[in-house]
Amino acid sequence: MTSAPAPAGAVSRFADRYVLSDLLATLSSRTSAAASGTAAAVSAALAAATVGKRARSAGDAGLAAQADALAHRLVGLAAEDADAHEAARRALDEPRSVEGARDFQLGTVLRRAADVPLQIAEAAADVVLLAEATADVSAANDRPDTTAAAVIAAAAARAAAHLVVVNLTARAGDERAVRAKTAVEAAERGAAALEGEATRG
Amino acid sequence: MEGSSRTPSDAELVVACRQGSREAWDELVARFSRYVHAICIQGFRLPPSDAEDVFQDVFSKVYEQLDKLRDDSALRPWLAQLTRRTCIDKLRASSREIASDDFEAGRIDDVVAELDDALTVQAALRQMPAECQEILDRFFARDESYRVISEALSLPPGTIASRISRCLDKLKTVLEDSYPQVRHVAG
Repeated sequence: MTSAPAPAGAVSRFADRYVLSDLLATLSSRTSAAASGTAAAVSAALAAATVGKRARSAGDAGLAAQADALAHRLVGLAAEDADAHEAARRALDEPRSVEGARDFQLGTVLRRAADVPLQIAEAAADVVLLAEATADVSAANDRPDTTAAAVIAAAAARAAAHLVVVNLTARAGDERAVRAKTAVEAAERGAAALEGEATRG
Repeated sequence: MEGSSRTPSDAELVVACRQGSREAWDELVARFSRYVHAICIQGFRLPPSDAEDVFQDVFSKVYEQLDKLRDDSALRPWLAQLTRRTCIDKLRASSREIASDDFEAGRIDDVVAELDDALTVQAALRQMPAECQEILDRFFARDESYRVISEALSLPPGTIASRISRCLDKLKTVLEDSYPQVRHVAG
């Protein structure tokens, strides 16, 4: 269903009301640590909220509660990712002082910098699974929203998984890279299945 | 009760404690320790060392004054009142300047009300089948992913969301039947 573009005043009122402008300013700032991991988590949180809306339309409070929990989890991960990214940046800028101490600290922060995007990828994949469960109980005219939410979440999972892999480039076959890939495959399969159902009508 | 061992009600715990049951006392402390602690930390924003002092004081008073409790089923509100008074005494004794926002009675009432709801949900969960308790705990309390839950419980990942949803429906029924006083949360 398409609609006419909103007037410019309506868009700015929406952005101010939902503090989007602050989030956009933070992400686009050169000095802020929040970057693509945060963007992926927020996107998946928005997808979760959309699934929650459709679960409520279907009268399934249990699915809606899970959507709320996933959205909340992802918002927390958005903030954690910025923190982890900042810690990694500071650790990389630290001069080498005590022999081995910097390497140990660097290893710790880089591990966390990979752990958080992995959690984002897995939570985003869960949003897709939840979207599938919600589509099963939804009225036909609510399914496009659920499908679109699944597509957004799958893309977020893929973006977060990329960040896992680039943080682990020195460790081929790392278990976290394998888990990230598994999450993306499951998410993309789920989103594709929903899109396919929509095409078949 | 279906699928879970029966846990005593608050009133039954009080009776057993009065009869000198060590096990009942340990259960009472275990059941309410986080509640008392949360009122101190979240409600009154006490530093951890002061919260610990209040915690010890409160349970000492409970042990000494349990006979004075007139309505055994009102253990929880009695504990809340005791904790609030002890926190206020602690703040006054430390002569700490209290920011007006920290001490706002309305805010503390809201914190205690939320904690009450959390305890009520915990009590209702104890009446649920074990598999529901576990799956709800894993997803909502431990933030585990559907994949981790499916592996732990040997279930297909695509079924986890609907299983959780059915368990939540059962929880809602238990809450409505056994705890009608719980505040309604719009679904």
